[in-house]
Amino acid sequence: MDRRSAGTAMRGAQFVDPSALARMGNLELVARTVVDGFINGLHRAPHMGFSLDFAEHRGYEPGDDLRRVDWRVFARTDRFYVKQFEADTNANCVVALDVSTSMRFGTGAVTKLDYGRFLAASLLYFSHQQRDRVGLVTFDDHLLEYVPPSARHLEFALYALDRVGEGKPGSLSAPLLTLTERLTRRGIVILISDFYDEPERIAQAVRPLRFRGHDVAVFHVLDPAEIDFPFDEAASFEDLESGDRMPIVPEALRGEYRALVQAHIAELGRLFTDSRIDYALFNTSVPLDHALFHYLATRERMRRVR
Amino acid sequence: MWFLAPALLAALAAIVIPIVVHLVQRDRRRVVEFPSLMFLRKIPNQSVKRRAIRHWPLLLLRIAAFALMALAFARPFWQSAGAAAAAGAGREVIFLLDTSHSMAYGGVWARAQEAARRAVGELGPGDRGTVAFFSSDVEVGVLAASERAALMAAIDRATPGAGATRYGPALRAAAGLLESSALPLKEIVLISDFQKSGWDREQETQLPPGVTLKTVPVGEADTANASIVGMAFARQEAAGGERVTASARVVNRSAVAVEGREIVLEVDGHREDSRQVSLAPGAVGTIEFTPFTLAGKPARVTARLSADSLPIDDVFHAVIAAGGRIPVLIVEAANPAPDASLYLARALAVGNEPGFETTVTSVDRVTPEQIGAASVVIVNDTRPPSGAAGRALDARVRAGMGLLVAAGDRSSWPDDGPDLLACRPGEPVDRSGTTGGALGFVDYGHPVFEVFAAPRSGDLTGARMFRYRQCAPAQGATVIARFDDGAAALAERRVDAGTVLTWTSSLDSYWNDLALRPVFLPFVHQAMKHLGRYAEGKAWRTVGEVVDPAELTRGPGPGDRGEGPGARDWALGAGSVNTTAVPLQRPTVLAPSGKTVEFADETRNTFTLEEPGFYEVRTGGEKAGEGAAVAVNVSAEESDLTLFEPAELTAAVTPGAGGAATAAAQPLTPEDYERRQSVWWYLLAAGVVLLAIEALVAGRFPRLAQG
Repeated sequence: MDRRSAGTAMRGAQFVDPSALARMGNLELVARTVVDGFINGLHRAPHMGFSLDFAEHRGYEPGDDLRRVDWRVFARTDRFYVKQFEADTNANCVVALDVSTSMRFGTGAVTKLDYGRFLAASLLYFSHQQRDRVGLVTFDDHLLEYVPPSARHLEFALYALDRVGEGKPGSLSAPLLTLTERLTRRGIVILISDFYDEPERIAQAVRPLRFRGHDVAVFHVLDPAEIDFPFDEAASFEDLESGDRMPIVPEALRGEYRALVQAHIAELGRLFTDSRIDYALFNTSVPLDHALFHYLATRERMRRVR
Repeated sequence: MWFLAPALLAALAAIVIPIVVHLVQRDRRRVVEFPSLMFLRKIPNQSVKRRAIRHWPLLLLRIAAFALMALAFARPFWQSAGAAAAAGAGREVIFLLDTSHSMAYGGVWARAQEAARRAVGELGPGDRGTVAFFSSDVEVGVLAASERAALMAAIDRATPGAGATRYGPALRAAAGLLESSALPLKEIVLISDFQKSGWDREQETQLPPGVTLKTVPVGEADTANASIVGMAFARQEAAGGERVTASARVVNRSAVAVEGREIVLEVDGHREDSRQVSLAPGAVGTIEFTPFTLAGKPARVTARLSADSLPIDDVFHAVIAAGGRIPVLIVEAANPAPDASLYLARALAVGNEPGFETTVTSVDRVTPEQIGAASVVIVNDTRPPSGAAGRALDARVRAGMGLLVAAGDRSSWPDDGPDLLACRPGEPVDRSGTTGGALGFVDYGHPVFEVFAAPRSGDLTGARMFRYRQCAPAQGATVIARFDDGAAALAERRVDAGTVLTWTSSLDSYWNDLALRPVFLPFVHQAMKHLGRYAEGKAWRTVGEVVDPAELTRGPGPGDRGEGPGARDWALGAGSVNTTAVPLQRPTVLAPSGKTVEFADETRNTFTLEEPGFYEVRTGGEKAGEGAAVAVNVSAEESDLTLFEPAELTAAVTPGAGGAATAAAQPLTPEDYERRQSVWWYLLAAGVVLLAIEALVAGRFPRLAQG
């Protein structure tokens, strides 16, 4: 199966409603459900996208698979060289999940945090299937859990995701700086957050990861209510992070609110794109498969430019 | 509409409750947790939009319900006057416009006229108005007119006068005018600067029930006014007349200092002297001028301060004449004691207001001419003159002369002597063996003793009385002083037109030590002035006084017997009502403005002083400037521009609470009371109905209730 675009692939994918995932409880099962369904939809093309790309030759060493010996080179040079492909190069894949208070908001069956956990679990599971070393970071205003990237750390990462506790008001700068210092080997860093901060400050917090050579993908998770502001009745709106309250007549402010949110999203997209950071917005009402497609498309694009 | 419990109208403030609930409480009731208020905080004009009121009909329902219930508990009722007004009945309105001289200050008068025109303009078709001007008296400009033009014209013609503000008489006069009106609504519109000095709280002025008083204050709170409130004249005998030192008393009744204002003294129209006046706020100063000589006829004196915002009180007028002298004849015994008249003559030699021309003679040498030339004769410790002198004495006393008889050791009064004594002296009472007697009773209301009435003004009872004569008062005599044993000390008797005093002791130092006491001199002076019928002339009078020309022309000195220096030989109507058919002989009185004064009273020659300046009273043969001058000044009280609260006046003169007259001309039946107050039931019912509708609407449409 040749690599194909995400749009083509999605036609056959079995999308799973996040609300159904929420009822499973086991993150591994969730991840497997998502990823397997996703792969089934792709007619089991596990190497789709990047696994057959030639990377380089290296000298044969005992134990190497003879099928990977480049016989043409042997014919010319009389030496054994083994062809190496990108897919064979184990990459670090670290998922950084924001577990701050604001992520606990949700108007449907899943909160943003649940959605983020499902997404993180699915990505980790999928990466593990790709033989990447997987790691996990949870943070609010500082690092809470850090599972270093390793081929054997999937269970630890899923366990860490499973026991995410009460978070505090979040901030990106400090935890991402810490993460940047800890990730000495270049890899893929997937950042999942609702990004409630000024776009420029968010970009400043994320850029150091990119400067270290990581491939950074930013998944912006928002609840539909945060985008559409569907409230009708006047009420006191309480900030989940600060606890501040504000009397609001939603119908009087809806238009301006939506415009501000869209401007915020657009500005984040522009800033991340300028920094060669992939940015995607996820609505918690949309199935997780979309996130995986986006992730794969991102990885494919990154491989091309390498 | 009025309220039985107007304090409960404060409950109207409760209408803010639904508004507050709409704005605040409904937001607090629902709390929505939201990830971040970051975007909401960025929305401009957020406070207005966040607190925008929705569901106006529901809010108005709630407000109306609260308002109706508050009004209901305030117990509104209808006035009968209000009902009459509703039926189209008219009003009788008295427009009282203050024309006192303080209204000339700054722009007060213009404001007063404008306020009066505006009030007249509010008259309805069935209303009648009366324009009356008041100061110390009341003058009706237009009486009970329906034509606004006539009322306006009267207001336009009016100008501030020279009178002082008096609210009491004005309100009483206005109430009197309203009494005769048949219109159901009676109202007084009082337009004034509301000077504090014009309201005498001691006067219990009350408007009749049903009369409403409306006050229109036009005064200025911050005023600056200095005025001359009086003059004093110190006299000194000098060759060719008297040297008079005039001084003016200047008051600065404002919070602004007076700096370097000029004050000029004029005598008979000629500038005599000028000074500079500087006074601190609220201060009083006395300005003394260079002395001038007063000879012959009375002088017209004017002190003139450079004008300020109220010029009328910056000028002060006075008329001063050379002091009069009372001729006193002392008749002593043929062989008197060495100092029998010493103390008496010495006491009479002191003083010049009035002075005394004292002649001492013995009883056997006194002549009828001497008696005829005297205003007062003192028979000092001797018998009465006999023969022609005795007859002259009797005649002169009966014609009005004064007589003082001192009954000392040598005195006697034969039975065939003139019947003039206030009491006939008897045997002496000797109290020299003890510490002596004293005066035990003194009639301080009598003119002789009134100067001793005030505390520390002389103790007559301190004099020791060693001997005095028992004395039985004559028919018609009055004992005005007694010794401590009850015996008469001084008795008075009117003998026809004359006055006789009998002193039952001596006027030397033999029988008592009164002559050695400080009270002796004023006692003698008062007795001489009383017997000589001395009347002090007034140097000036005040606008509004009613005067008799006879008093004005009498001047200082013994005059009204046709003998003194100020006497007039024309008949006056003063003293008693002239009931004869003979017409009065009127003098000509010229006001300071040059107008001839009209006498309003047909039976008396009295007139009212209406202008400040010099009035001139002429007899038939006198030319301009030769008549007697009368100085007239404005009231000093009126120059005090301090204001008071009109509500104080309204509360004092209007019966009932709240300053509104109740229309209780007719007693109300219980049914009337109930009918007038029944409106509160309807209001309460309407409020309850509205609340029920609100509950229905809010319950049926919960979303509305949240708004």
